[in-house]
Amino acid sequence: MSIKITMDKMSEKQMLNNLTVMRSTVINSAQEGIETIGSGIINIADATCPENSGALKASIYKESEVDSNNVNCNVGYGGHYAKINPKTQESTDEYSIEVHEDLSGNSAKWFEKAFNTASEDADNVLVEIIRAALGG
Amino acid sequence: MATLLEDLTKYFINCNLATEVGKDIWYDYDPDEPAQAIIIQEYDSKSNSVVCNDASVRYVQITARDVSSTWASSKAWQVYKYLMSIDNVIHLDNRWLMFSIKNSPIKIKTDSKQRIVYGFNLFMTTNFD
Repeated sequence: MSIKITMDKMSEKQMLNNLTVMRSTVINSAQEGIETIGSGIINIADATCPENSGALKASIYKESEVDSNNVNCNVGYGGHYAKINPKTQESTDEYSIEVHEDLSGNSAKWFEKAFNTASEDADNVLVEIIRAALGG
Repeated sequence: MATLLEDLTKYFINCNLATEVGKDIWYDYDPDEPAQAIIIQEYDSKSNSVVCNDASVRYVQITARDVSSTWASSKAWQVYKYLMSIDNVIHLDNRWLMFSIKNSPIKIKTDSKQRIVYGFNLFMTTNFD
């Protein structure tokens, strides 16, 4: 007794078409998932970021990009989004590292903690969004 | 059993990265003097890494400071390079630890006495104190 499995040329084309559609669906939903995780980090960081003038808190950003190999979402403070502290006229880039890394400060490591907290559920968030996009 | 920071400090002294606790290296304490100092501190973070029932993930910051930016930077880099050069599992007398360095040394601040502080962070899985 045997079973013969054959893939004819038409089926092969159809499968390739389906895979192409599926690939873009997965990439798009992965980007959505990564951005959702990034937004989760921002929500937690916003609630815990030390606030004096508000400039540092306002310098948070989220940028997404898809390249040939990766779906990326960068979340951070400053850089192109740096703000000028109205009280000291300093750029937030000049003191954000000290505020984050100086362990004698009350709110040190707030951003790292936000990342670690949001990362706890990152896998599930990503899987659920991709699954939903694929109709699963 | 000594604390994690105490064990790490002794380890660094044994590796000739520092000479004596209270002279050029401190743990869990940031002394006002001298200016030239290596300081090892633990900080609170959050981890989902449940390891096993007798180990946990802990976060450590190592800093070096001096009025000379050159000394502070080079000492922080010396410790960092040493840790980068060894296997990331360290076996001490009553402790094992597996570490991962999170960043290379950066300038953290200039303190109120105009001393420059460089430092880097690592996290480690280790058995309980």
